[in-house]
Order: sequence, then C-alpha cells, then structure tokens
Amino acid sequence: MKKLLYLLIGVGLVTGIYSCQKTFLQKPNTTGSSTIATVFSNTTGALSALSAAYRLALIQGLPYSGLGHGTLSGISGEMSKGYSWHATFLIAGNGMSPNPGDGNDALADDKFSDDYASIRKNYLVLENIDQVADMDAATKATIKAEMTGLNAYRYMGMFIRYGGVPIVTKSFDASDNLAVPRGTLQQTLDQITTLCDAAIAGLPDKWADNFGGRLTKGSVLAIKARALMFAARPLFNTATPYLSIGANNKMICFGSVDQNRWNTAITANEAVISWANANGYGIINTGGGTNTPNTKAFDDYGTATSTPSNREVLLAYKVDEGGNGIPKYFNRSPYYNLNGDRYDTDNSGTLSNFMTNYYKADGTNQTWPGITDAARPYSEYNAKIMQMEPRCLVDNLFPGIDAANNAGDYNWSVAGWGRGIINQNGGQGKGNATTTKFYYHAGSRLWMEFPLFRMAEFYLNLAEAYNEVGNTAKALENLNVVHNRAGLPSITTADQAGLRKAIQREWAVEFYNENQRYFLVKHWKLDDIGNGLLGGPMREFSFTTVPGASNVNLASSLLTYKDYVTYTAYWNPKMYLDPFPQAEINKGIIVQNPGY
Amino acid sequence: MEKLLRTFTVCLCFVLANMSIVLAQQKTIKGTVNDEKGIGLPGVTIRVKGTTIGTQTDLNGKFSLTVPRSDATIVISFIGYANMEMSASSSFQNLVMKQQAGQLSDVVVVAFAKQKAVTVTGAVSTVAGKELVSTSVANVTSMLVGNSPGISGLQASGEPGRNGANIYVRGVSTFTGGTNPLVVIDGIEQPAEQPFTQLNAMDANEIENVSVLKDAASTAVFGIRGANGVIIVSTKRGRAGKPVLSFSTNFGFTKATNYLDNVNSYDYALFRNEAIRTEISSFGNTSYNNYLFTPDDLWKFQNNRDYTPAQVAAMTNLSAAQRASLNNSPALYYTSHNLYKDQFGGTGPQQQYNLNISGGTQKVKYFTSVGYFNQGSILTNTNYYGSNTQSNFNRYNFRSNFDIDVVKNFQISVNLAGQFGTTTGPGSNAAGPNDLNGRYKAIMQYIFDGNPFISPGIVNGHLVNAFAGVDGTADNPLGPLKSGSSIGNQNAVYNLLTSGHETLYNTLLSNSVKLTHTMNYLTKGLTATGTASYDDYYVKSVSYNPSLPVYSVRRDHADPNLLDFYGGAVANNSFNNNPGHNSTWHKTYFDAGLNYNRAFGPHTITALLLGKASLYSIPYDANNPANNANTPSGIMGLLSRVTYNYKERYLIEADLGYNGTEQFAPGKRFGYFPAYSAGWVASNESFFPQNKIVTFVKFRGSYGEVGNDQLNQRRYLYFPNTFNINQSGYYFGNTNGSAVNPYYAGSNEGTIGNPNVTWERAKKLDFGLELRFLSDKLSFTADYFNDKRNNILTSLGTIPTTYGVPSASVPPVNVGVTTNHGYEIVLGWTDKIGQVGYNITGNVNYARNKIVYKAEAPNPYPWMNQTGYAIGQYKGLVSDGFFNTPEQLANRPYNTYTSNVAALGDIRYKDINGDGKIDNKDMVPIGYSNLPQYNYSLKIGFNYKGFDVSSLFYGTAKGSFYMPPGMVIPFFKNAGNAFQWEYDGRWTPEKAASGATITYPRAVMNGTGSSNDFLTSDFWLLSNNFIKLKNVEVGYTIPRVDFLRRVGISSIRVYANGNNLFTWGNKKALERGIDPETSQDINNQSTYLYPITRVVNFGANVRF
Repeated sequence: MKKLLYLLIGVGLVTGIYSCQKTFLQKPNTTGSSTIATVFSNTTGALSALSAAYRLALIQGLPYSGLGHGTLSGISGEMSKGYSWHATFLIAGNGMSPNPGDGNDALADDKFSDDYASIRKNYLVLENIDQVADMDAATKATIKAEMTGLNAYRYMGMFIRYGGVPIVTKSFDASDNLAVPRGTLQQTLDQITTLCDAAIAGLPDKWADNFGGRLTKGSVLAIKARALMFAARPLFNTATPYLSIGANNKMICFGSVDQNRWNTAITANEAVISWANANGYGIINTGGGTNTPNTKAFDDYGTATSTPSNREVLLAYKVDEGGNGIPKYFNRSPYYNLNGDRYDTDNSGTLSNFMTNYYKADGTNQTWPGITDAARPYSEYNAKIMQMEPRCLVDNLFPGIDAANNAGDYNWSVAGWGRGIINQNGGQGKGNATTTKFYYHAGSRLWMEFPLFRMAEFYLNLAEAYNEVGNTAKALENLNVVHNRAGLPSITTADQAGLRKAIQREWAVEFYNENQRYFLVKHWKLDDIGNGLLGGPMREFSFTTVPGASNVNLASSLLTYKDYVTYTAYWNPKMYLDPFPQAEINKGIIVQNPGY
Repeated sequence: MEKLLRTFTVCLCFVLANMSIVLAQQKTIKGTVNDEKGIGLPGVTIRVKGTTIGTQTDLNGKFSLTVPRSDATIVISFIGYANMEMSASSSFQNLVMKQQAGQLSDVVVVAFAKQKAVTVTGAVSTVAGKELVSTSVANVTSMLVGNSPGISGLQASGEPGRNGANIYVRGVSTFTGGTNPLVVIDGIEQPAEQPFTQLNAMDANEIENVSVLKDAASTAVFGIRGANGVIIVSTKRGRAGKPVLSFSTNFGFTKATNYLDNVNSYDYALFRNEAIRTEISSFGNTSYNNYLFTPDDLWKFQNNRDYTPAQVAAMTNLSAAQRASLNNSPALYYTSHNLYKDQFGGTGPQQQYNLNISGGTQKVKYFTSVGYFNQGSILTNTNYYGSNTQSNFNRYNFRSNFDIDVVKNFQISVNLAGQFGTTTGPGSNAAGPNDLNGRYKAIMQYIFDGNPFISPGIVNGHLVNAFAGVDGTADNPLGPLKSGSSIGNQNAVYNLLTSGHETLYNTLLSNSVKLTHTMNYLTKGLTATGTASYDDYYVKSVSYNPSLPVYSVRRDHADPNLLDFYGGAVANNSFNNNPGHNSTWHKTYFDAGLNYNRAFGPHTITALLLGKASLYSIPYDANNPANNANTPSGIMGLLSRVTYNYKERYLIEADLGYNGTEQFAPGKRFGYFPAYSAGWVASNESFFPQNKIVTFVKFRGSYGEVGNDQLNQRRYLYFPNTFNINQSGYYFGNTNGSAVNPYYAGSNEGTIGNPNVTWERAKKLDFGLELRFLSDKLSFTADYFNDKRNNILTSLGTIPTTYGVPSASVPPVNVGVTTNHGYEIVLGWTDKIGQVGYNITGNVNYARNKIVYKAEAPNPYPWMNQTGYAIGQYKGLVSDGFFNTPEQLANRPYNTYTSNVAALGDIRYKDINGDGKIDNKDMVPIGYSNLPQYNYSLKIGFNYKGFDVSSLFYGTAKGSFYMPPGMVIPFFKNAGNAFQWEYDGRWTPEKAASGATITYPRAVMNGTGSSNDFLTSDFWLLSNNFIKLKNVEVGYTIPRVDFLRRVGISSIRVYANGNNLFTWGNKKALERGIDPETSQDINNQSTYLYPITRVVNFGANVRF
C-alpha cells in the first residue's frame, strides 16, 4: 500500500512535469522566419540577395568599409587628415597598424573581414540561384556571371592592397577546413583573370534602365585591365620586394621584372576602350577634338565625375542615400546639415602639397608660395585661383570664391557656406580649399554615385603602359585624350622619364579624390613618397582676416594667405602594402606583410 | 493560476472565520529565565512539547503559561542558548540558560529545509536579520557585504533608490555568463532576470535570517541556476503566544563620503599658464597664447575681485563711496567654485518606520509588518523654481505571514507581501531612468568640462548661465576668447537644474501559499508539501522638465556695484506622463514534494523529493514591442536529497538536481547536477575525551556539479540558421541624378545556429573544518574551495576570417573554462568579563579566478592574451617615472599612440617587448580586476547592562580601480576643470631636480585620451584596497519602568548608528574623491560617479 502510494506520487510528479513542459519551457513562434531556402525560392528573394551582394562588394575603399571614418584622400596627400577620431588621422599620425583602430579589424584602408564576407555573399547567391523556381536558366547564368565578376572585383581590391591573399572558391560550411593560407601574388592575379574571363563570357553588354548599375562585360573588362596594370607597376613587377618576408616573398612581388606585363595590360585596356566605343561609353568631350583643347571642359569634366549614369562611368557605387551614409564624407555643402553630421568633413581641406598638380588653364604651371615665403595679400591668391584649369575649379570651393560647379546656388556659395573654410592662426584641417567634387550641378541632392571605373582611367593606363614599353606616340595620344578634354593644350614631352611624370601628374589631377592616388603613388614607388606625397610635411594655407568680420569666408573678409606645415604624416616602407588584422595573424594561418 | 489563488483565498477566509479555539486549562506555570550571570532574559520561548502552546518571557525574563497537563514537557528555547526540557511539574523559578558560543542558531536554513547545524555537510553561512537591521542602508545586498563570509560586493552609485551593491558569492567564475547568485525568498526562487529586485525592496525588519549557500552540496539541488551560489532569505513568522507588537523608527542623514576637489581659480590660472608655456617651449605651439592669464587676472582670482585697485581708481565717473565699495565687492567674473562640492555637498535625510506584530494561537500564527523607508538627496541645488532635482527614494513595505493548522496533519502557510516604491532622480533626458551613465553625465559632465570660474552659479536667487557682455570686454572679461572654452552656456549647476527629473512608481506584489501535509499515518516523519506563488511587478514612469528662469548677468555700467540680470523668461513646463520607461513582469512558481525525516535509534535519515517549475513573463507591451518577441523564460525540474547520520558523528549527504530551461534546444534542455558530501564530528566520538579546551571538532567535504543557464547572450542560440530580409539593398537603375534610382531591398545571411548550446557547468570542491575551544568561547571555521567552470559560452577567436561569416553571426560555443579557488576563515570569541559581555568575530575570504581557456588565438606575446589571467584583469602600459632630462626624452622609444609627441615631465613608458616602439604589445596586465580577491571583516560587540555597542570593520585587498582619462585630463577642450591633487602632485623641473615626490605629469594643455600622459597605463590604476568602519551601533535599553508598563510598553531601546563612517588605507583614491568601494565596468569606465554616501542615524525600538 505504502509503496504503491510512493509510486503513485512519483509517477504523478514525473508526468506532471512532463505534461507541463510546454507551459514552462516555451518556444517562440518562428513561423514566417526566412531561411536561405525561402529567400531563394523566388525571383524577388533572389534579387534581394543580389542587391545585398552588390552593396557589400563594391563598397571597398569607401568610408565604413575601407576606413572607418574619413576618405582615402586623407592619407593620400590630397586632403588634410580629418578629426582625431578618423582613421585617416590615426594613420597619418602613426601609420597603418594590424591592431584595431577606428572600429575596423585593423587600422588600415581596408576592412579585411568585409572582403571575405562579400565573397561568401556572392557565392551564396551563385550556389543557390539554381533553386529559384520562377527564373529562366539564362537569367540564372547571368547572375552567376555577375557574382563571379563581383568576386573578381574584391580579389582585385585585395590584390592591390595586400598582394597575394587566401583564395576561397565557395561558401564554407562550418565543418569545412577553414584554414586557407595566402596564395602567391601570381596565384591571386590568376584567380582575378580567371574570374574575369568567366564573368565576361556570361555578362550582357547592356542592362535595361531599371537595372543599370549591374555588371556588364565592360565593367569586368575594366576590373581585369586595372588588375593587370597593378601587376605591371614597379611595386609588384620586381625581383626584390620592398621589404623581405623571406621564403614568402612571392606573396608580395612576382620575383622577376617582366616588361611583358605592360603588354598584357595594354591588351586588356585596349579591350575596354574598344568595348566602350562599341557600346556607347566613352570620354565626354563636347567642345574639342584630337589635340584640341575642349572648350566645354568645365561642364564635361563636371558631368563625367558627378552626373549619375553618365556615359563615361562604367561602374559606380549606387547607394543613393544621404543621411548617415557615405556622402557624409563627400558632400560638404550646407545642404548636408542633416543629423548634424557635416562636422565629419570639416577638417579635410585640400593640401598645398596637392595643389601644385593642377595646371593653369593655359597648361602651364602655377607658382604658389612656399613655407618660407612671407604672408601675401589675398587678392593675389584670388587672382591665381582664377587662372586655374577647369578641373581645379570643379573640384574645389576656394576661400572667398563661390563654388563654380553649382553657380548661383546660395548654399554652394561662400556666403551661404555657414562654417569656416579657412585656417586662421595656424590650426589644421581646412587646407587651401574644400572639395566640391562629385556635386557638379547637384544642388540639394545629398547623395552621389561614387565612380568606380571611369573611361579616363583606361586612357591613362594606356598612356602609362605604352610609355613604359617605349611607344611614345601611343602614350602621348592616349594621355592627350584626357588632357585635352580638360581644356588644356596637348602635351608633347617625348623623353620617357618626363612623360612618365606628366602621366602621373595627369592621374593625380584627373582622379583627385577618386580613391586612386593612395595606391598609385605606392605602386609607382615614387621617390618622394615619404617626403610630401603620402608622408612627410603636409602643408596648408593660413589666412588672416579683417578684424570683426562677420563672415570670414567672404573675399572682402580675407587679408593675407601663407603656406605652412600643419602636420607631418607618417610614412614607413611597410605601408606599401596593408597589414592583415593582428587577430587574423594570431590564428597562425596567414603570413603578415613585412614590417607590421 | 488566478483561479488557483482565488480558491486559496476563499479557503483561507473560511478557515479563519470558523476557527474556534478552545483550550483545556489544567495548570498555570510561572517562572523566571536568567542567563548565566543571573540577568533576566527577555524573549525566551516557553513551549509545551509536541504542541504549539507557548509564550515568551518579558523584559525581565518572567513568564506565565497555562499548560494542558501537569505532566507535559516544557521546552525552553532561545537563540544562541542551549534548549532546556523540563516537566511542567518542576519549579521554574530562576532557571539558568547556557549560552552556546559561536553558534548563532542550532538550526540552519538550507535548500527547501532546515537542518540541524551540527549535521550540515555543505558550506553554508548565515546572517541574522538583526545584523541586517543594524546596517542602516536601503538595500539588503549592501547589508550583506561584510556581514557574511563568502559574499563580496561593490557599489556603482550612491543615488537614493539605485545604491544597491552587486554581490557575488565566492567571486565570479565566468567571463560570459551571468554572475549573480540565485536569490530564494521563503522558498521561492527569484527570476534570473530580476536577481535582486525583490530582495533589495525588502524591509530588513521582515527578515529572520539569510543563508548563503556556497558549495555544490548546498546548491546542487538548484541545478542549472546554482553555480553562482544561492542566497536564501527567510522572513519572520509568528510564534504561539501573546501578540507582540514592535515599533521601530529611525532617522538620520546621509552625506557624500568623498569629494573631488578642483583647484581654486587662482591655482587654476597658474596651472594652465604653466601648461600653455610648456606648449610654447616644448613644441613651439603658440596657438594658445591668447589664453594666457595676465598678472591682473591672477591678482583678481587671488583676491576674488573683478577690478584691481588701479582699475577702480581709474573709474572717475564713480563716487568715492562707490569706488570704495567696488574695491570690496566680491568677484562676479573672477569667482572660484568647487564644482563637485557645489553639486553634491548637501545632506540627505533618511528615515525609516516599521511596525510589526506577531503572535498566534495553537492553530494560527501570524507575523505582519508594515514599513516605510525614505532616503533623500545629497544634491545641493534641488529646488529652484520647482526644478526638483532631488534624488529621492520612498519605499512602503507590507508583509503578512500566516501559518494555519487547518485540520490535523494539514498546515497552510500564506505569505502576502507588497513593496511599493517611488524613485525620483534628475537627468530625465538620458536613455532612461536606469541609464545611470547617461543621467550622471547629464548632471556631472560640466564639473569636468567646466572650470572654477566659468559660471557664478546662483547669484542673488538668479540661476546664471552666461555673462551679458561681448567676449573680452569688461562685461565678460573671461569669455570664450580668454578662457578658450567652447562649451557655451553649459555649467554643472545649470545642467543639473534644467535636467528635469523622472519618477518611477513601482509595485511588487508577491504571494505564496504553501500546504504541508503530515503523513505520519502512513509512515512516521513523512510530509508532503506543495507551494504556489505569484509575483507581479509593475513600474510606471513619469517625467517632468521644468522651464526655469535663467539669466545672464553683468555689472551695471553706471554703478558696477550693482548687478544687471537679463533674461528669466519662462516657457511651458513639460510633463510627460509616459516617457516610455514603464515595465511589468510577473512570475509564477509551483513546487510539490515529499519530505522524510526520521530517526531510528542512532540512525537519522532525511530525504527530499521535489518537483518545481517557474515561469517569468513579460506581458505584451504596446509601448515596448521589442520585448514581445521574447517568450517567457521558464525553468523546471526535479530535485532530491538524502542525508544520513549516525549519532551525529558520521554524516553523509547526496543531492541531485535535474532541471532544464527553455534556453536550449528541446531534447537538450535537462541536465543532472549531482553532489556528494560527508562529514565527521570527531568530538561526538565516544573516544573523544570530554574536556573544556577542545569542545567541538568537525570535518566536512563536498564535491558536485552545478549549472548556470544565464549565458548573458541573446536567447535562442539554438535556433537554426536564418536569412534576414528587408536589409539594406542597392539602387540599381539609371537616372541622371534628378531622382533616386530604383531601390531593391537586400537580404543577408543571419545568425548561424548552434543546436548544441548548453549550460555552464561548475565542478565544485569544498573542504571545511569547524572547531570550538574553551567551552565554545572560541570558534573557528575554515573552508577551502576549488571550482572549475567549463562549458562557458565563448566566441571562437580562432575561426579564420576567410569563413566569411561576420564574427557576430558565428555561433558561440560552450568551450570556455575558468577556475576559481580560495578560502573563508571565520574566527570568533565570545565571553564575559564581570557584567560586560563581548564578542569578536573576524573573517577573511579569498577568491581568485583565472581564465583557463576561451578559444583565443594566441597573441604575439602571452601577456596580450586574456587566457591565463583573471576575469576583468586590467591591462595597460607600464609607467617608468617621467622624462626628467632631455637625454631621456631624446632616447625614448617611438610611441605609436601619440605620433611620438612628448615633452619633459611626461610619463615614460616601458618598452616591454623591446622592439623600440610603444604599442599594444607593451600593454601588460596591471594591478588586478575591479572585484577584490580578499574581503575581510571584523565585528566587535559589547554589552553592559542595558548598553550595547556593535561595530563592523570591513576591508578588501588585491583589487583595482582605473581612473579613466575624463577624470585625469586637465583643461579638456582648453577650459576644462583641474583638480587639487593634480596641481599638488604635478611634475615641474624644480621638483624633478630636487627629487620631490611627483604623482602627476607636467601640466598638459587640452589633452586627449591619446596624449602621452593619458594613455591607458598603470599610472592611473589605483588600488581599491580599503578598510572601512562600515557600521557602528550604540544602543541603550531603558530598564523596566512601571510607568511604561502601565501604557503597555514592555521595552524600549534607543540607539544611534552609522554606516560607512570612516575609510582608511587608500589615501590616493580618497584624495582623488573616489570611494574605493565604487564598482567599475572594465569596458565602460565612467568618469561620472555619483558619490557613495555615509549615514548617521538615530532610532528607537519599542515593544508592546
């Protein structure tokens, strides 16, 4: 009897607990949650994955994925270094570092983890697109080619920044062997060209207007052309690396000098131009011809760099967001007062170091005061600016001079600017001018589409490559396509070294603030890299003003200007390539680049 | 659930209404109970054995009791004294009870039972409610710190209503999971989400005692929630006898223990001039030159005048009398304020009332208590035109505990408790009333970013936030142009007063019903119990932002002796009846079980089998939809315990918890948590010689496993992989910029699931030794423990980035391992010299943890790892004095944090790895973690006739506190504050040359966290060791007075006590205004500390 009772109580307890489980240990309702299978069950879902893939793949080098805060211009000698919380400020002060800084994996110009997150995203689309029920096989094949092209873009970006990198060819499962060591430089280049060739084969020449911005044959030809140019330039195309990592040197150089790399690059760049000519893309030049200065240079250059979907841009980063997005670092007009975020660009003026690259409108050089010169009257400054070439005036708003690219718009005038654009009594950041690039005729539009490949690049690539292989005529021909379009008379320099300098200067001016210069200066291994280009003394103008002036931006308020050194940027040869994040090195799979 | 409660309530009323108590009167016994010195003992329980008939002695130890039978056995018991049993027929005149030294009580509350102390094999320490009451603070957690071996705690804030300590049992053992101990109040487990909510809202007068369960043997039955230790609180219950009414009240004052003193304006000016001159001489930086204070400025600061005598003499437009008056007129512009003291220098009132009544009959026993507690603010400026920035805390408590013998063998215990609080605090614009950091920043930022002269504060009843004059003119001589300040009209007083205030009204009702059925009819010693409990919590917040009259001021142009005020316009006040900080939750709890307790001759067996379940829910909240995604969190399981002892010599116990929570995948939810323990009471052996020197010897040991399901991470980690839709997408399409391109939303791979996620598992080992000597006068208890915690949820630092899954989406796995070992030693002495009784108890706790494994990829140097070091170990550069000579400065390693900018008098850092650079490879462990490894306390008590004195000293050792840059940078943004200790301790070339003690680097202008001197380093790490006179109480019990008896008062005790009275042993922290007991979050070091307070209190306790 007793035993039975115990048994009954025991059974009662156990069954009680068992039956109450659903009451006490509940599970949230997950009906409606998406899985990879539901997303890839239809075209809409697949397109959403595709959109996210583009968004991440093409952001490389832009704020939040390249640097945390600031743009590459802040460390490329183009602009002042920004505020103390900007990655550019930290890099300018102490160089790139494998340790975190400004929120990224490493204090560098790239967010390494985004590279492989992007590649995984692309592969997830590529591997799952076949499951989409309401999509035809041809569309699926095109999407696969697009994802292949996006992967090529990311590998190209890594190739330029790191040299050889780990090559991942699928989306990993957690159970896979995740330990992928770095490939050599050659393996990485081969991976890029292989991906490019595969993508080119499967991509269309043109997209319908509502899907413009997706990869075309032309944009992947461009990826390949750029990658091969960097393969030919002296940083990689050498027998001895900039610094040694012993047995692993082939991760950072090819191990031999091969002039033929220039020829390969020429072929790839010519391919871009011929494709462009056949498909309605090309340099915008509405007021000139061969070896004739373009009379509409200001508008043509403005359109080419600023107007979304113009015929000179093969691929752009199309995230048309203002708010807290990327334009926060590019749009400095008072229109960008949303969120009070305009301060983030306040300390990034154009440096004196860079100003000397601009030509005068007649194609000759401007003479600017040096740091040893005494202060000079502002009227002289104003007159000198008025002599500058159209690109200089499209790119910048100068103290006392309304922005020419949005003429007549109060918010783009110095009167309406609303905050200081000059350095007074020393100070750092305002530079000689504040940038207005990408906002030609933008008015109140906050967003812009950052050009990733613009046709001018391929002409300059060809000029550079032909000059290196000794074909001066072809070099000049290609260089002047860009130079004349800018409204300048043809360059005729014939000696290789002089022409090289002219081409490099053309690169600097034409692609100011377009994320090219930081890498070009390093890959060209320029002599002065640590002495005023990327590192060394950085110079700005300091102005004096009429005492009690209510708006110091106005010409009437400005008295004198003077050049002076505001900071010394850090340079060390280790910075020719980026560091991998220390946390990644600690895992013992990846070899760090030398010097870090 | 509600239905169940309603049924119980109906039953209860029925039982109460129909109860008729008839007592058979057979014999009345009368007597007196004395202690060993012959003094009457009040409050002794006299009970007829086997019944609930009983009474208590009065103040003089006298009692009278009617017993049913003259041959009944009478049991006489009193806490701390040995029980006596006598026949009712014997004489009760002048009975003498013998004290049991070192033993609070012979019964200890353990999990779901009471156990005879001698037979306990686990590590359990107890604190009597009386000791808590004499600690005059608001929160029970704070009362426990120092009062219980094994508990340590730190306090984040001194603000009324938010000044509870975070407490830990034997330190912490996990770097991911929750570290709060489980709190059990009258057998009801508190939700892990609200560990201390109810405990800290309790009135200590309601608490009978607190047991702290520390080892596996005592906590295993709590299974998955027991790994961080368990705190069991038992409330007072009625005893059979006349109603005893007790009223106590106290009132007192709170004051800040420490102030952060800034330099006066004159020293400020000298100090900043020094900083600016260093900028010029060391770096050629002339950009601060305009900010240099002139000799005239210095004279004005020094003399508290706005004009020098020469300037006054030049004011020929004034009359001689006006000039004379002006020469004596205190400064308006050149004032000097101690900002921290101005803000927190007030005295906050504190008061408490408690009325309780207890008593009962054979059938019904009751304890009912109502209490009120109020603590006011130490803020100085609390009421300017209705600004009401008081930090104020009001609490009303109510508790009723009934024990009812309904019928034979059937008892119902009903506990009804309510806690009603009102908490008000300034800073309503922060992220919410509980965002202490945000709120304190709102009211304190300008203590640091302002300076001693930036604002005159309240002048002639006007709140001033600006000077009415153009910068640099006579009307605003120190305006931004001169001071360099960029903070506009902000100042600490202004920001406090205009910060608004938010009030939280909270209600916690907790009810439980316990049924006990004695089943002696089935087998002797068997009882069945069942408990149901329902807690309901509700918080309503309202906020109020007054519009205050604010003025700018200047000296009158015609007569500068007069002040002109401008402004003062008042807009509408804003009252927000729903700032969105309401919250509510409720919890249900059920258990049912069997208890068996029986002695067979020398063998005693007890057994327990219990099933329990609880559910913590947040109801649907339209104001806070984010909460609604969470399903209720629940826990359920079975537990059992078997103990056996032979003649109280050999003790064995086995415990088993089997339980689970919804945190884990179905099928992986439940786990077994076993523990085994044994003890040997050597002094009970027959061969043990009876002597007065060694009177008690006991060895005990335990080993077991306990869990922790509080992973402190997002819930539902076990869910399968998801794909998130409606994420950021892309703008495909071709427009010319006149319109946004067509947008296509994105979708991203979401969290990767880990179906294997499970609880943390602690393996706990404990050895204990209990000894008593010299007729129990001297007692000694020691425990050694060694815990290993594994299965700690850990993010894998070893997964390569090439995986491509963002680290936040890589599922954490249960691989982390820590160890924690230490000891507790308690040594006590109780004796009497003549009429003076005294006792001294000291205890030392030590707990030291170490991270053994956390899936960390090894850093280039081992000191960069967290593995191998304590949880929360501070890390930083190692300072090596200062750059005293140009040679030292020239030969310094390159500092990568500062662009290598340094000057003489800056802190010199060691290049630990010798690579010629100061970088993160030189960041090594410095000091300890914030929670100290050692806690010790000393309690001393005396009593003489009616007088009693008790005191508690409490201290810690091997802990650290880091002073964040915000606390140590002077002249922040050119014009921020500077502190006295900085000025006094600063480096100067003269001091360096003379070899004087230097405790602060050179004066630094406009420093930042990346200036050489303010890098994270041991230079700013303080020890938080301290010794505090934590508590003192002096009381006097008024001797029996007939007059009082006539008005029904049986005793009155008056007392004075103080809490947190003195701190020694940490001059450095104290002179920097930091109470070393302040807690710090290593990842979020706040500059803004609300001062911790001391309390001085006076009170009386009256019993009727």
